[in-house]
This record gives sequence, C-alpha cells and structure tokens, in this order.
Amino acid sequence: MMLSKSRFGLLAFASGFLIVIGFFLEWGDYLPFWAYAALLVCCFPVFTLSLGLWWMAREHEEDIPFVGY
Amino acid sequence: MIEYVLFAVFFGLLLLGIHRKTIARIQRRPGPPVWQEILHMLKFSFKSTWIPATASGTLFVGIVLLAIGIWTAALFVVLTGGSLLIIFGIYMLHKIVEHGFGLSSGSPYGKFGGVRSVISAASEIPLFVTVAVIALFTESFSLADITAYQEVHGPLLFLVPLPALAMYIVILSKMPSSPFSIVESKEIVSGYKTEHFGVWRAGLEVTNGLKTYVLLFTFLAVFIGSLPLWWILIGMVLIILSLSFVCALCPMLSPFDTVTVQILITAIMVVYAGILWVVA
Repeated sequence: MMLSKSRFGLLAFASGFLIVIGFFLEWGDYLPFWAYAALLVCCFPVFTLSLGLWWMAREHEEDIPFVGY
Repeated sequence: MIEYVLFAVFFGLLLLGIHRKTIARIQRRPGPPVWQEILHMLKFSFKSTWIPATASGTLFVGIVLLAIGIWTAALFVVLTGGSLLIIFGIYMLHKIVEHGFGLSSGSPYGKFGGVRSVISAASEIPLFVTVAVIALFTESFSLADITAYQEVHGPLLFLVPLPALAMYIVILSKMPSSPFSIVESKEIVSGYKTEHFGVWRAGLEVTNGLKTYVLLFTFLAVFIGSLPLWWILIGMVLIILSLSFVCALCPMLSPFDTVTVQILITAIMVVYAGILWVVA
C-alpha cells in the first residue's frame, strides 16, 4: 500500500531540507565531511524518489503486472 | 558535494546517451539524441507510479533506495581517494541489488533477470585479480596511494596492461547492449528492471548514471592516475566510445558463453598475477 501524496511531499521536503542544511553546515565547517557524506547517502535516494512520487503517485488500487502471454 | 552528485548523475547519463548514439551510428541508424537517457530519467520521474499487486512492497521500494545510496557512497569513496576494496565491495552489492530488483516484483521476467544476475557473478572474479595485481605493485588498496604511485612510476596502464584489460571487460559487462549484459537481454523483456516503472525506473536511471560515472572514474584513477577534471571527463568519453564499438560489433553471448568467457579471463589473470608475484 502506497503512502498518500501529502506524506510523500513531506518526505521530499524533509530530506531536501536536510541536504540543504547539511550543505551549508559542511561549507561553514560546522559539520565534518564524513557526516555530510553519510547524510547525503541517506537523504539523496529518499529525496529523489519521494519528489517524483509526490508529483505523480496514484492514489488508487495497485495493478496486476504483466506476467506473460 | 550535492552539486557533484547531481553532476555525476547527469554526466553519467550523458555518457550512456553517447553510448547509445554511437552504437546506432555504427549500425547505420540515426539513433536517439545523446541526451536521451537524461530525458528518460526526467520522463520516468513524472509518470504515474504504484507498486504492482504481486510485488513485495518493502523490497520493491527499498531496493531502489539502496541502489541510489550505494552508488552515492561509491562516488564519495572515489572522490576522497578511499579504498579500492570499498568500491569493489559496492560493486558486489550492486549484484545483490540487481537480484533484489528481479525478485521483488513477482514477475517471471524480473526473476529471470535476478537469477542471471547471480550467474553472471563470474564477471566479478577478474576484478579481484585486478585488485590483487595493483596491490602487488603499489602495496596499497587506497586510491590516493595508487595515484601517488603513478605520479612517480608512470601510469599502471602501461606497467600492467592485462589487469587494465580485465577491468575494462568488467566495465563492459555492465554496459547496456554489451556481449555480457545477459541480465537485461530482450528475451526476458527488460530483465531485472521489467516491473520497475515510473519513479522506480527514474531511480534506477539515477543509479545507472552514478554507476557509469564511478566505474569510469575508478578505471582512470587506477590505471592513468591523477588528472584534472576536464581530462577525466574527456577520458570517460573516450572509454565510452571504445566500449560502444565493442557493443555494436559483438553479438550478445548466451548466459553459458558469458560465464565461460569470464572464467577464461579470470584464469589468464590468475596466471599473470602468479607470474608477477614470482618475479616480484
């Protein structure tokens, strides 16, 4: 069962916010590089997927996939 | 660094577009524009998306997150001159990711792709011998040490050409339309990625861009040494062009032949490494 679009939006915003905050903290030497790298490894995939899902995810039943002729 | 991650995704996808265009031109077809793979990623990002009823939901979604995550991590390892073993550990993880992609959807074509991904693990063995030979020369697994060694002794490409060839074949096995790309050949639709559509496929495209960039960057760092960014990008384009020629001119091998050829390469590499070890 997929999450609702509003939750994907929240997820995209939260992960994007963390990436931006991490970027400025690392830039200002408040965050060590390894911590920023770990933050990106965790947040970048979540941001990538949740942004697309927030934009276009369906909100009805799943489909049966193509299982051959 | 986020800007570098995004650059790597887009440049990696551009390289894959150049790959497709070159193959098409060699085969006297017009082919897609070179930015086609970037357009694919953007297009899939905004297609309606859901999870198939037969899929294992957690694995189906989690494997896409894992795929992007591991190659983002690999990019950091390469850029910071980290250990070659971590990069190749991630390469091995990608094999598990392909398997997970295939098994998560419930589609028989995906499962075939996943199973083929396991049997094509033979392609990783030359990689271990390559790493062993490099360590024999440079006495280190660190990319920073390996590039420093080359600044003194010259590129490893000329010192140990056979491991370079073996790694080239490993990269070739990961290219679309390559003679060894049995995991996504057309008789099993799109292999392990058959049921990952929409945003999931966009995530997979992001992974492909990062993976291509990281593997080519690693090849250049290990066998040519430290280069300015522009030379690295030019080097990547040259390698992609040569890979495209191989892909365009060689037919896709059967799974059995793929494994046989890769085991033969491994055997040659083991003998070569043994001779080097005795001589050294």
